[in-house]
Formats: sequence, structure tokens, C-alpha cells
Amino acid sequence: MNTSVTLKNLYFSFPIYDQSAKRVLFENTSAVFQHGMVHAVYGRPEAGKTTLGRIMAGLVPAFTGGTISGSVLLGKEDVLKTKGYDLLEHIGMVFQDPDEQILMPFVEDEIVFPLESLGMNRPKIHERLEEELAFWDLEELRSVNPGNLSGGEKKRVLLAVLCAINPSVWVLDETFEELDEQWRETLIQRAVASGKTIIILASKHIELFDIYVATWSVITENQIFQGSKDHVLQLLGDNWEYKKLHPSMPYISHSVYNTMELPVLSVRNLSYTYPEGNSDFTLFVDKLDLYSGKITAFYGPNGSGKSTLSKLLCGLLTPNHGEIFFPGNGEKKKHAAAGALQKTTGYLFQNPDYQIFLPSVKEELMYSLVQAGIDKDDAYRQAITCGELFGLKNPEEIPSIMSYGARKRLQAAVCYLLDRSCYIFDEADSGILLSEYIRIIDLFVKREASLILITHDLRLAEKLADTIIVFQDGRAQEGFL
Amino acid sequence: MKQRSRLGSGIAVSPAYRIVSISILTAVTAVFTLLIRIPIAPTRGYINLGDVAIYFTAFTFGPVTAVITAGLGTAIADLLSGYAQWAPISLFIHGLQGFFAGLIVRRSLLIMQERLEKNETETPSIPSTPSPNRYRLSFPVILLAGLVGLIIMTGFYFLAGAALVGFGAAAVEIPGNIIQCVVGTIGGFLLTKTVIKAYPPVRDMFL
Amino acid sequence: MIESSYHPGKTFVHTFDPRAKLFLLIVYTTAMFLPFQIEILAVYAAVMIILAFPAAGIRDAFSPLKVLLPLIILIIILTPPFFREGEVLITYNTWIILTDSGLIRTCVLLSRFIGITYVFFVFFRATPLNQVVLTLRWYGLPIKAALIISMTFRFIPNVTSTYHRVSDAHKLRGSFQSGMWGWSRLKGLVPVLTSVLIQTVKSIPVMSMSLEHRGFGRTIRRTSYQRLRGGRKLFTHLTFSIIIALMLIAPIFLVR
Repeated sequence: MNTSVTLKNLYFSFPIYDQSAKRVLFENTSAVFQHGMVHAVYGRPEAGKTTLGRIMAGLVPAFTGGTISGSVLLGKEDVLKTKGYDLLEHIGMVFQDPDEQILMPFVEDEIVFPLESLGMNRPKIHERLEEELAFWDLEELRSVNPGNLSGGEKKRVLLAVLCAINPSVWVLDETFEELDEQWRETLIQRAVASGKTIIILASKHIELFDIYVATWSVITENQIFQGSKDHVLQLLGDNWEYKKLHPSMPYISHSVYNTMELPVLSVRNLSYTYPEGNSDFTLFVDKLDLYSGKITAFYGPNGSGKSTLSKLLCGLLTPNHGEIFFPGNGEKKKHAAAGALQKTTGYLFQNPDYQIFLPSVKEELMYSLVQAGIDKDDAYRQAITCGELFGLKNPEEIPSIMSYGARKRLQAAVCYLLDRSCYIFDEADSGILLSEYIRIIDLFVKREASLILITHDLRLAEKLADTIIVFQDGRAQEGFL
Repeated sequence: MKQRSRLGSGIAVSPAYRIVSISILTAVTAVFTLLIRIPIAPTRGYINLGDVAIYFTAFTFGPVTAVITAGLGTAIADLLSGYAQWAPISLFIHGLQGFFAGLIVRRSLLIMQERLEKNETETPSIPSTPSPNRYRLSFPVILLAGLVGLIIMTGFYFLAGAALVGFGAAAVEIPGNIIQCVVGTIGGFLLTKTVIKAYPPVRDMFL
Repeated sequence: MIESSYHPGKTFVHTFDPRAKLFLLIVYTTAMFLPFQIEILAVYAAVMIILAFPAAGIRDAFSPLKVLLPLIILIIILTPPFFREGEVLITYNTWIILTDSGLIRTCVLLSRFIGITYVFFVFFRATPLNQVVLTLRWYGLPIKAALIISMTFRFIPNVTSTYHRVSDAHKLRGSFQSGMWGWSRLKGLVPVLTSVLIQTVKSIPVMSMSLEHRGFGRTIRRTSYQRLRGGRKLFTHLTFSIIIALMLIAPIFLVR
């Protein structure tokens, strides 16, 4: 059966609520993804890759609302006229965030569930289940709660589900991102061998699947452009490439800080063990000094202690031994109170939504100022100025339904107004343009704040930071182990 | 049935959406019940914010969702916190509480809508813009919903307690239950207001 | 969190068929409300406490008593004053503190309460939750309801971690102060709870997509892979449990 995917004159815009601006994602765009080939679809963050995948799977606008027109053909069937559940054996998608897709409290049930929907008999389900558990090396995790798995393991569970269903079209939304080298290779081999129509959605170029890719596309300015690899990567954007980052960007000057000054925050002989649970993990930090205007990168794998140290620095946790103190205040080696640390260190969580609770950008920005006793008019003026600085032009907009990038900028702006002397950026580069990320960092450096960038990305750390602290199994050391 | 079609948008009536919203709000109710406790009422050991979640659900998602999330959420919380013997009782009592609170709000929304529609047909001067913003809670409705919930909860818990631990011990928990329910109504109402303001799509989720 | 109520083991309490266990749980709970002599109720309660040892292990077996201690004390203090007839056992000046009917009533309530607490404790310590759900399915729970229970257990850890992260975020922006009490504590929690609710409510449409994407809603009848084993084991265990049930109820005929 021919299962190429054909888009004809597709239009899609998100629903509008109260003060929110109209966001058009696709306008009169057409594209063809031929049957049985590998297609790479690129796009900057928020270009609409995920929404495109979900439209193909018949899930948007059914569950999001919004306006759609044109047609999306799967073979000869128009998915805009079909329910998502009826497309189960035709199209399967692996979502970017596994937490948004896993439904069952056990790995095994997750794989079994869609097969039950297909009405498969027990021996057949058993056969497929065992096959995929073995292929994706999940046999030992079969009765584990997926919530307790690592990012890469969750992705493998979802891939096992996809392979067990074995639909005609596979949509892989940033699936290669969290997998390590070996599993990336396994996935692309399996996908190519399956002979299905493979659509890879990505925001970064990964050379790995170059040789298999039949068509190259990029989503830009509400259109899907299909063309040669070079042209597509050029449209994806210059500033996305690391090699071109350094000279051309309005870049952070590394001479802001001065080691003759006293550090803002110092750590000495620190150790911390979590009270319950994973008791075999202990964090040790001999010495760490944070200077104002200096950028420090925390680099290391998941679970190596980066976020534990960050929480200690914010006063969200209290160390078992050793101290975190403010040398600038003339204090000597006495651990600072949690309250004082909470007022010194700002934290930009990876998820910008944790602190959003007010109905407008303006109110979110004014909140902490008013709390600090600044009068309303003055706070309003400060909020507007700060909003403009971070590219938030409409102060009446409702934060919770703004775009992800705008929410990230709002989060940064809220932290900026808190005027802390030290800030922690937790994977803040995920989901936004690199140029935007760098602009935000620059704003904080100009305020002479001490910055900590938590990252998995060594190349990024090398480009941006003055010092790199490497984490390995709870040990934190400057430079490399 | 004719009435139902006027509340809740297209998304809210799809089966997958119903099941998922019930599951997520049940989890929320369970977590609110487990997480924040002020030890007062001896029979159940604590005052919790479970009722806040129950009233929030009843006010925003309506009786059909609330009857399950309230009952199941508190029952699961009992189970996980070592009060398993209360689970069947909670399932029943909190389920009723959520259901009636939601039902009262639902009635008032329908009446309000009828009135609005009547006004529109009487004064067809302005070409009516489709306004989804018909979700409004009035104070007397909240009061009534809170009161009915309060009577159901304290009444039935007293009866169940009397059978299990005797009238004396069951009477001791009445004040605690009253405080918990009052806090729940006020908290649920406050949160409904703040959440709807900060995240308007919630308005369309009432069934 | 999901595992917190189950204690893994291979004892007879664990391996006994969950359908038979659930049946016995209901019969036992009912029996504790029947007008038995106090001695019988006390024996029933004691048996359940003994069963807690294989079900939960020695260290954990008394944990329900610890949790329930304040309530047990309340029963002991508050029950006797309601019973003034019968032989007076303890007086203080002219005040009757304890009569024999009051004593018996107190003991009945204590045995009933402890027995019922323990039967639930034993059941959930010795039966994994997925088996509980399958058991309820076997007794006729609709598939949608079973699905809701499973998905709730999937979401509870997520909502919990959202709550913790949100309160951390609010602490650091000064919109949440911990450690207060009463009304101000509740007011201080409003920003945090608002964020938590927005986050979770926002995830509903996305998770609904996922559920529909897994084929939920198709007209074709779902098959079910996970099943409790039937056959001879089920038959013997059910028969056995019916015999136990009859024995539990039997004393009612002896008394009358």
C-alpha cells in the first residue's frame, strides 16, 4: 500500500484567548513525503515541527483547538477527516517529551496497551512484547514504573512501543536527542530496514543519518521548504552552527570579572547525602568560588550532582558538612542561612512554567517588586522597561498560553528583576534559539551577576564559560578529570 | 441531553479527553490529600487540602468528573498513607461531596446561560459575537455548594465513624472535618478564580 | 509511591489468589460488624495481627498500631461514659467511670477497629496493585475504570514532583513562604497551588492526544493481555476461601 504523506495548501493557527495574539503556524504550504523513504524535516525551536507531526497523526486540532484548512493525505486518506485512534496502524509518533506520552505505570503495559487496542490475541501480543523488550534491552525494566527511568530509557520504551505497533509511517520528534551514540545507530538502522515511511523532525543537524535521507525539508516562515541538503541547512540558520557562533555574535566579554575582588559566594569542603532513597550518592566539593561577572559551567552526565550542588547554592538543601558563605560580607567560613542563600541566588529552572501563576506579563514582572515594597507606579515602569529588554512587547499578554520561547524570556525577566548576585541557568538553552540564549546571558553578565550554566553540551560550555566544573559521580572539579 | 450540548466544547467530550482528565485530576486530589497535612482530627489524623482539589474540580470540570476524582483520589490517598480501611468510605463520601458540589454549579451555569440566550433573542441589535466567556461563579452558589458538601462529609463520616469506633470518638473528628471542608470550599474557590484568570482555556472544560 | 503499600514476598498470604483474598476481605469486614461475643471478635482481630507478620515482615507488622494509637486511646476514654447500666466496676467519688457493659462495648469497638485496619493492611501489603486492579476487573469493574486507576498511579509521581519543583521555584522568587500556619499558610500556598494546577491542567490535552494515539476509542473490542491465572489453583483457593468465610460467619449460629 502506498503511504506517502502529502500536504496540500495547509493552514493552521492556534486558538485565541482574551489577550493572546493570533499565532499562525502554517500558511498555504504543500509538501510530499514519499512512501518507504527517510525524510529529514528541520526547523528552529517553535517553527512547528511537533505540531506538524501531530497534525499528520490526526491529533491536532482535535485536542488543541485552532483553525485548520487544506488537506493532509496519508496515502489516499485525508487525516483531517479521520479520528486519531483509527490511524493507529497507519502512523506512529514518538513525542519529544516522553513524560507527555507514557500512560501506564509499568513498562510492559505501555507496550501492550496499543496492541490490545488493535484487538490482537494474547500469543501475538506476547511474541511482539518479548521481541521488542529484547531488541531495546528493556527486559530487566519490564515491571518498572517508567517515571523512574532516565531520559534515554524512556525514549527506548517509546521506540519499543512504536516498533511493536509497526505502523506504516514513523514520525520521530527529536528522538535522537536523548539517545546515546549506540542507540542512535540502532534506531536509524532499524528504521531504514523497516521499509516504512520515516519522518525525522529535528532542530539540530545530526550527521548520523545523512546517507539514508531521501528528502530534506525545513520549516521556516510558515512554510515547508523542500530542497537540497545545503540549501535546507542554510535556511535553518547560520547562528545555529557552533563554528560560526564565536566571532559573529554580539558576544560576552570575558574580562568583566576581577579575581582581585572577593568572590560573591564561596564553597569549602562541602558534602551532601540525600536523607532517603539513593543513599549511595554523595556530593563532594572541595572548593568553589563564584565571582561577579564570571560565567561558570557545570558539566557532567545526569545524576552526577550538578543539580544537587545548585540546590545547595540556592539554600533549597542544607549541606551535611562544609559551608557555603559570602566572603564579600567579611563573613568567615560559617554556613549561610537558607533564607540568606535563597535571597542571593536566582534559579532559572529548565521548565519555565513552574513559577507562572498570574494572569498577565505585567503582573508577573511587578509581583516581586511590589513584594519588595516598591510603589505600584514605579514597579510598573520598571516592569515595562524590563519586559522590553527581554522582548516581551505586550504587557497584557497571558503568560501561560504564550509561546515556549516567550515563556522562557518571561522567566528570565522575572529572575532579572529579583536582582540576585548569583544566577543558575539549568539547561536554559533547551527549546530556544541559541542567539536568544546568548542575548539573555549577556543581559545578566552586564549586571555583573555571577552566572552558573548547567549543561550537557561541552562545546557550548567551552564557548561560553570562563571556568568549567566537571561533575563525575558526585565529585566536582575544575577542568577535566 | 439538550442541555449538555451547551456546556463543554468539542474537546471536552472526546472519550480520551474524559478519561485522561479524570485520571490527572484524581492524581491531583490524591497528592493534595497526601502532601499538606495539619494534624488535628484524630480519626483521620490530619486536615488536608484534598477538599481544595475536590472543590476546584467540581467548580471547573463539573459533577461527572468530580464524582470520580473526589472519591478515587481520596481513597488512593488513604491507601498510600496507611489508612486503607477508610478507603471505601472515602470513595463513597467524597464522591458524593464532589458530585453534589459540581451539580449545583452546573445548574447555576445552565440557568445563567438560558438567561443570556433569552436576552440575546430579545435584543438582537448587535450581531452576537460568539463569546465562550459564560463561565461565572456567583457567591451564593459557592456557599450552597460548600454547605451541601459540608453536610454530606461531616454527616456521613460521623455515621461511618460511629459504626467503626463509637459515637464518642467519632464526635471528636467533627470540628476537624468542618474546618477541612470550609478550607476546601474557600481554597477551591480561590484557586478556581486564579487558575481561570491565568489559564483561560479552563473555562471550556466544564461538562 | 506506587510500591509503598506493597511488601514483596513469597509467603502463603502473598501467593493466595487475589480474588479469593478480596472475597475474604469483604466477608471478614462484614463479620466484624455482626453481633458476636467479644471473645470471638478479639480472636478474629488477633488472627489478623498474626497474619501481618508474613504479609509485612516483623518490623512493619505493628506500624498500623502506631499510626492509630491516638484513636485507640480516644476510644478507650470516650466510649465508657456512654454506658451507665450494668455492674459498676470503677467509681471515683460518686462518679461512675466504668461499667461492665461499657467495658465490653469498648473492647468490641477496639477489636473491630483493629481487625478491620489489619485486614486491609494485610491485603494491600501482600497484593501488588496491578493484581488488585486485575482482581477488580475480574469482579466486573469496567475497563475504563481500570484504565483510570492505572493512569492515576502513573500520574501521581509526576504531580508530586511538579509540586516540589513549583514550590522551590516560588521560594526562590519570594512568592511562597514555608513554615507558617493556619490561614496565612493557606494564603501563602495559593501561588504555588495555582502554578501546580495550571501545569497539570495544561497537560490534559497532550496526554489525551497520547491516549488517542494509542488507539483508545476504536470501535473494535479491546483484548486484554494481562490476566490473572485461572484453572485448578483458582478453584481450590476459592473453595478454600468459601470454607473460611463460612467459618467466620458460623459463630452467629452458635450464639443464638
